[in-house]
Amino acid sequence: MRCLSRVEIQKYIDNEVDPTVYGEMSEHIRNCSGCSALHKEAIRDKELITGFLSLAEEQVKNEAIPAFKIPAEKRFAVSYKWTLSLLAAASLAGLVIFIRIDRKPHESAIPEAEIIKMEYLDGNDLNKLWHDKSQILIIEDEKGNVIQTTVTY
Amino acid sequence: MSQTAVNSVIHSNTKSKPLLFMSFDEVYKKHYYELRRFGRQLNLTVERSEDLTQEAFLRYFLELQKDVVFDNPRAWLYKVLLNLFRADYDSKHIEYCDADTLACYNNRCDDPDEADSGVEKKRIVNEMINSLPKRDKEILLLYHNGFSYAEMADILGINPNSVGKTLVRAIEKLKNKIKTQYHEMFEQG
Repeated sequence: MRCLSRVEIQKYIDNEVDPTVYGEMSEHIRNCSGCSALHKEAIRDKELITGFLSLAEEQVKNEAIPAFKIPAEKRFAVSYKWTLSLLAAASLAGLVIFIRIDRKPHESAIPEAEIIKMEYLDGNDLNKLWHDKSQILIIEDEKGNVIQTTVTY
Repeated sequence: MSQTAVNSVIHSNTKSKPLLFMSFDEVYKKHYYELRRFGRQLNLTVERSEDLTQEAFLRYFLELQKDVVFDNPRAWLYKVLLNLFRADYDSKHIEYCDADTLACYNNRCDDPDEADSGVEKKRIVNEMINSLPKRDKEILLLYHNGFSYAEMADILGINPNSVGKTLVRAIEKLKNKIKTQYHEMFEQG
């Protein structure tokens, strides 16, 4: 096995190496003076850093853990989501009902033009339909001049 | 380990419950102090550290409300706290612990000499930790708090393969600072 790098040694002492190569690394560190020295140095560094950082740790002396509280605005935010969803659903339902109520059945008379159109779509001759169903009203004065023409159905 | 695999270690959206499922109260009681301590290690004031700890737990609570199941709530909470700290830092709203606050905090110690000595050492440790680049400081603190490399990679948002290198570099930097500046003091201590 080749010599180990400082990073590999660090992974080794932190148990972050593959278990299959751990034994091989252990053996190499035991037999290689260079890697053995690096290994000892890495352990010393780890102890130094751990000891150093431990100095800044605060001591907790029988302190009670403060109760967990949900801030009012967050509580509102949780319920707000559901309220908004319900309001949206209710609005949609209201809109649908309103549209359905507003719609009236086709009981009133259908304009003649619509009837002609439907008959034309059924395959009848449009010109014939036009002549059968329309009247041209011509209004003339006493001298026979046309004042107004109106097409009625 | 791939990034996806690491994510699944910390945060799982699967509906199946983990073997050791902990209730919110259990997680809160178990990790409250260490999370607050992490805030203090990041050099936040006691009050700000408590605020961010509560905020992290609140986010955890809200995630649970959405039926999210966590395999590793501890790592997730650290990640949230660190992100909150970074957001504070970026928006310059950060409240660092000054010498007076530190002294005040350590006045809980019964022995005045011990308290003074403790304050001085804490001041030095904080000073040195904060003189390191942000990434080095964060990885050292996470390492000190016992996280695995995969967890550290996820919390810091870095490639799992680069954790070892980043960690060794940070250790070397801190070691050199300790040896050049405060070696004698810590040899005695």
